[in-house]
Amino acid sequence: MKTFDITYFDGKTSGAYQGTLTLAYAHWDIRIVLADGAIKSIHWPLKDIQPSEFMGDTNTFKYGDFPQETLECTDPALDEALRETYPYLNFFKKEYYWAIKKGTGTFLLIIGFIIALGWGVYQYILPEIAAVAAMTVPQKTEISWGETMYHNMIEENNEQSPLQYTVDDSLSVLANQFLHKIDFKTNYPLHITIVKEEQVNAFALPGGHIVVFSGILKKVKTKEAFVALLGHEATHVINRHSLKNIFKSVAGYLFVAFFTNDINGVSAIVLDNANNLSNLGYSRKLEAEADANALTIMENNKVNPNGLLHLFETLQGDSKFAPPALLSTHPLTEERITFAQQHIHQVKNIAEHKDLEIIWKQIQSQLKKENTLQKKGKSAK
Amino acid sequence: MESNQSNDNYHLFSFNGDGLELFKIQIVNWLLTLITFGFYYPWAKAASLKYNYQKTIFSGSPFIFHGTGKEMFKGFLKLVGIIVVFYAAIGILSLLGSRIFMVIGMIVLYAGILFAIPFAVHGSLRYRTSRSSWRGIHFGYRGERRSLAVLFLKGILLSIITLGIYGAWFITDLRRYIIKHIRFGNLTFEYTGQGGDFFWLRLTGGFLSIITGGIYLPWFVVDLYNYFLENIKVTQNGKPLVFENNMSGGSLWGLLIVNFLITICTLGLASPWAQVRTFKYIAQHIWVEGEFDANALEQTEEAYKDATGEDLADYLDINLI
Repeated sequence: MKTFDITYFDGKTSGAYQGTLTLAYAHWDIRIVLADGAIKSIHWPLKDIQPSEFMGDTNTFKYGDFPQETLECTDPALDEALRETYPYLNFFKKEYYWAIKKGTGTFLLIIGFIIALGWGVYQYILPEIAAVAAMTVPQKTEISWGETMYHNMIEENNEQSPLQYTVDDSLSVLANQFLHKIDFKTNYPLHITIVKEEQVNAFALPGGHIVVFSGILKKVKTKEAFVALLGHEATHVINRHSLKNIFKSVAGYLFVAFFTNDINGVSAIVLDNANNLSNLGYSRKLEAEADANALTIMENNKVNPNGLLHLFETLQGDSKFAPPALLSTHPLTEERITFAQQHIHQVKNIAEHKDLEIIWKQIQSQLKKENTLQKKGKSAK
Repeated sequence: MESNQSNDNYHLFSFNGDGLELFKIQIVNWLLTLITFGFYYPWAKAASLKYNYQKTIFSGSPFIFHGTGKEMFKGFLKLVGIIVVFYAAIGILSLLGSRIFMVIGMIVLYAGILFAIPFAVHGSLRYRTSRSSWRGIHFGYRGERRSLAVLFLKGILLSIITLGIYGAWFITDLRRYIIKHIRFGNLTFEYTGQGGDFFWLRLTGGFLSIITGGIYLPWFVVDLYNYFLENIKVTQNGKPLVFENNMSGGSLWGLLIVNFLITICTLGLASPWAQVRTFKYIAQHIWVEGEFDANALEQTEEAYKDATGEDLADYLDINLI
């Protein structure tokens, strides 16, 4: 039977006793040398020996109740001997014993698996959950959230702030008249706001607010294209795309925070920024949905669905010089264009829409007026 | 066992932890916490603490953490209960809709948290010290909950009134009280720092850190550590023992930058290595000087059971030592 050198502490003082440990049947046999040179024999019945958490260079075992006797052993062979002598007992906590003994490869595999799992959840499951959660929000609540966001980004009481947009009041009035001539078949209180921004962009807030930049309005050539734009943005509202997006973004943030929180706060910030970037635009699926529904709206209102193609052409034509901001939030893919071309077949049932034409003309002349005013203002400076 | 690492009057620390080992332990912790929806957390914490204690060697013998996941789980459950009540209260307040109710409610809740801090600190100190041992001798904390609470609330109040200036005296008072009541066998502890000295140290260090855009910060941290350690006076049988350290702002910078880089570049996966580096750094740079009889400590503390403070302190993010 093998004997190990140990250091023994009796729990009453910190006095160290050198001695030996023999692994006997049903107990540990400890012999220590006392100060006067005498040998003392101590028995530790197995059932009262407390397991050590980790196997290491120095292994410590405790025995009995408080204040416990302890022994320290630095012999690496003890681990093997314990397993051979008492194969049915665990002197080290199983999961950690396994972990420390296991090769690094296993852990790389585990990490790879966790990362893949995390990515899968983040990419595929989380958006679905967020979408379902977004659908449970009562419409009233959604509208009030949208109002709050709207008031945060639209400048009021002439308080100028670089983060806020300036509303073009006369254009907004006209655009709303235009909007209300179209039946979107929805109970959302749709409202359009034209803001003085040269960027070619438009976006929809949850609950009904559609914000259109004057930059895109100047590029849109026909009233049909404008209907297409409104139909597209209105669908983001009606089908709660904006709300889903916000939920997805928040869920993504929480997920990233949860996944990295225990490890490190800084990486959460890095990952969170990545999360924000990827969430700026709508997913292809939502974009396609908005296009399809815009076509339906146009058909329902007997508006020439070619307007959607005109809108795409306008945007594409522009992107030769500088990609319009709209495309970064509403990626215009070949798929979208092909989809529109394939689905525009009912070009028959089209009404004249004199009312829309009148408002559209008014919008155009108002734009021209503002343009000349702007030029005059510049030359005056 | 006579230590071969320490000379008669120099008693050294060392940290023998290994980044890879700690990493493996953390992976196990992580997985088990994940599949138990967080309920494994107290066991995970016990395991990390045990590892870090076991790998910290003073004068040839390792420290042992005796706490168990089960003990901490009870504290953890109480804490979860407190958090649920707290958020439920906020929820109810916001449902009431009244702004005044909300403001008053929030003040009451935050005051409640403030009141909870000394209790958390007390519980955590009692628990943590009672579960720590070296050569079979347990540490202990004999402070009184009430005295600490009074000290704490008085300090907070005066700090608020003096716009934070009293903070230095407050922290000094807390340290003095806590350290005075720590027991380790027949060793007695005392903190001799002075609020005034600490105030000027913080003021000049803070000022230099700001005007150098943070570059001075590690030197400032080292100064704070030095001041703290220098003022801990340990006595054994009438003979003084002092903590010494030779950290420097430069070496601390090196540690922090490398730790930051390895953690960031691996999105946190390498944090166990960073942690091991930090512990090794501290252990290497701190030692105890004086006539220390490692064999003469007597068991003076009794068994203590209650782990609420441990988790509460964790949640409130209080770093005790």
